[in-house]
Amino acid sequence: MINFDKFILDNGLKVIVYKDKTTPLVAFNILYNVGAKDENENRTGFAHLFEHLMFGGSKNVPAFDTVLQKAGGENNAFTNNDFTNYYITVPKQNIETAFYLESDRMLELGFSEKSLEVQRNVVSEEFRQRYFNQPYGDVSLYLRPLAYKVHPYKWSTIGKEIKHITEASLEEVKDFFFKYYAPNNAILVVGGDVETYEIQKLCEKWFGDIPRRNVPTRNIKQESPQTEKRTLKLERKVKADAIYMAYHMCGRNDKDYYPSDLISDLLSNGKSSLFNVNLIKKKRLFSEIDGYIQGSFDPGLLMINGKLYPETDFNSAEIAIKEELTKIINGEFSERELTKVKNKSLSTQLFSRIGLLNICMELAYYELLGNANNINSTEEKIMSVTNSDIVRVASDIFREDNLSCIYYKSKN
Amino acid sequence: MINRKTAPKTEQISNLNLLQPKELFLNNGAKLFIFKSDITPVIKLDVIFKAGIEYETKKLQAVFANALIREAPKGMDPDKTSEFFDYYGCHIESFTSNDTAGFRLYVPNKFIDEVLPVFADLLINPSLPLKEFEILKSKYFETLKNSMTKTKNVAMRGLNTELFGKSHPRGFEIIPEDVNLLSIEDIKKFVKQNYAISDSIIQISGMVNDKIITLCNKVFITKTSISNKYKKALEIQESKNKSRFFEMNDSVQSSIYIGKNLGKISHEELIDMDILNTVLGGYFGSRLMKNIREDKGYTYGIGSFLSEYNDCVVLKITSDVGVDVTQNAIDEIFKEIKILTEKRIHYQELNLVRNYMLGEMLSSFDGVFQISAIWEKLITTNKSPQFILNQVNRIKSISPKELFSISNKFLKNIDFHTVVAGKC
Repeated sequence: MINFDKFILDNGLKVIVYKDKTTPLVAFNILYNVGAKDENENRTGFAHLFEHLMFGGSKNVPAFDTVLQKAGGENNAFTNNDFTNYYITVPKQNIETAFYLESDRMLELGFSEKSLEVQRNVVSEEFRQRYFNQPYGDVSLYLRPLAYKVHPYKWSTIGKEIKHITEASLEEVKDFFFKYYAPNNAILVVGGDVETYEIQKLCEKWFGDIPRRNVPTRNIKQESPQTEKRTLKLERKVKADAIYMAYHMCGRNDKDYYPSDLISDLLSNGKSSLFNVNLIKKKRLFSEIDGYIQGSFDPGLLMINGKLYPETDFNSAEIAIKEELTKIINGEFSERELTKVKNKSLSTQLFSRIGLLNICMELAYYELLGNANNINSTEEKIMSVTNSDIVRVASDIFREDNLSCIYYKSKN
Repeated sequence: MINRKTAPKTEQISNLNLLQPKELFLNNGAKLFIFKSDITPVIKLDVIFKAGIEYETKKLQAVFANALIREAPKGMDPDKTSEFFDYYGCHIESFTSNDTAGFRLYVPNKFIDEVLPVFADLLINPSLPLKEFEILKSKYFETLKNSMTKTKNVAMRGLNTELFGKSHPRGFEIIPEDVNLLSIEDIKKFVKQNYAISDSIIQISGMVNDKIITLCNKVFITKTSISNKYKKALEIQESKNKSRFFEMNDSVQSSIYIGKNLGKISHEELIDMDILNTVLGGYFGSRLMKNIREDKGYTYGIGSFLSEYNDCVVLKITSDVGVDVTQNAIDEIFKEIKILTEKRIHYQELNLVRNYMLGEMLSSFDGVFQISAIWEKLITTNKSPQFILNQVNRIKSISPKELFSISNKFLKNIDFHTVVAGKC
């Protein structure tokens, strides 16, 4: 059971306090409810570029990192399609530095044209490093628009193309800030050997005078059900053919989310999973194969990626994968197998909640999903999934007309 | 209105305490370190052997031995073994480094009674199954083929060959075909010569109780010791060339790997070099990051680090940069190294580094899993816990003059190896 306190400032900032008496550190996690899905289609990659700029100086603090390092602290951030998350760890005695820094950059940014120019380059290099300088790195740039036709999940967090980033202007960036970086659009979690009244006082002091902002109401076009199988063939200079399959599935808050997660575990979590035992070991068709869910807030994707041995062709690879999927649809798995993936899932959860920062991040995440307290009900939700839930959800997901597939061919 | 112009006062970290583990010998002679915490009902068990790649007599022996042990104990089917560990929610990591190799078991407390005997059996009586060996080989062949198309891997391997020579295990040039030269006999031989449970280091961390310790004593009972552990005298043959370029025409970035062998250095010097390394490229505010990322925008990331081996310490600098700025980036890296040998660091910057490093240490001491990792490094690199205390004191006290003298000792001659994979 993870216990915490929660309060809201007058300006709408939600604050969660998590107490851990055993650590000399404080974790300070602030989540903004803005992600790549809030971007304009002609200006993608903005939420992420913006995350970089948040370190380029704010109204009263020209050098964010230097002040924090002086206090013995560390920080970083990440952006995904749904939200942007910033985190700091700092020795407890210097906790106020975190408040000072985060509140100032929520108040107003102060970065320069030069800092924008540099970060445009840095992000372009990140784009190249992750997507173009890795074998198979560009696949998500094709798979997303294949699976999504209207929903903004059709572009990656990094953006559709580098040009969108290199063309970003100072004006646009400022506009993005005042639209989304508001106290009423953020969740702050502070964890460590702290008292709630003490955090409340610090919150009032540093965040209290930041005005509420008019955050636009989300109006995201939802995807209509897919009606036929979509395929795409890519040829690249890679050493092995690879297959990428994406099936639409429910969103994060849907009742079928945990069954979907367990389905992907049956397929590929652990050495005794269906894929490993049958496709890698018995049939020896793939050198690696993986199945997982993306876990996005709106309806997302269940993904299957496999690298083929030179002797395997795409057709037999796809047939073999589908044979495993059919086993789940037909309920050809034992009660013990379902217990196994549940045990594994609970154990992963237990281990993931070991560090202070991890717990704080998760609390913010669950609060954004609706209620931080749901962090305590995941175990029950996982345990209550039945065989028939698995069969029902698998039959719904693994339909041919629900599939988008990329054949990534090695060109040599 | 609050004053936002001045930052709140900060205090330097003074209370840095590294949790001391409980230490005892198991009945079979192996050393057991216990790191207790009562927060989460989970256990991590590390078993570490001196079975890294430096003990290889044939390329890839160590990696395959380590991976194959993980498959099954004698008398148990490999598929059943995997199912067993998965069913009890376990996760097993197997790893091979230069000197050591080992296994980390992550298990919820409630299943420890079932799991521990089988895990111990796996390490004491591995079956080394042939079918799994063949599968591992074909998988690894593909992995190697693929990894050679990544600029980063090519540059990393290239630098190691430059530093240690082709006939040294650290510098081996490995191609996919090397996999086919391995036989199951090579693996059996390696396991016999290097994996002895009585000579291993065992660390247990998490919600440990007396019952679990008793269980450890029961399951790690076998005395298998290696009386004359074979170790080839490894001769380093450093390349005479200072730079090497691997052309990879389809790359949009070049991977730069720069390194220098500092030789065998004392613990005192190692501590000073660690501080100097932090200044150069060891944190987000480092000189390399400030110049090459935050001022020039040539890269998404650049860093420098010290690799500690049995017989030497190597300083490495690595980055992936746009192909059009490859040479500029290399020039800037050497410019920064040169500045360290020409100009003393300002107090202000040094104080920042002090605070950063102390904060970083404080957070690395947080939680028993992290502490056991620090402890493991101390033991396997032959250091006493006093090393950490010395490190803390030195971080607090080193002067710009002393830092300047260490940089002149080790960085003055620009005898670095520069390896680039990509386009120039």
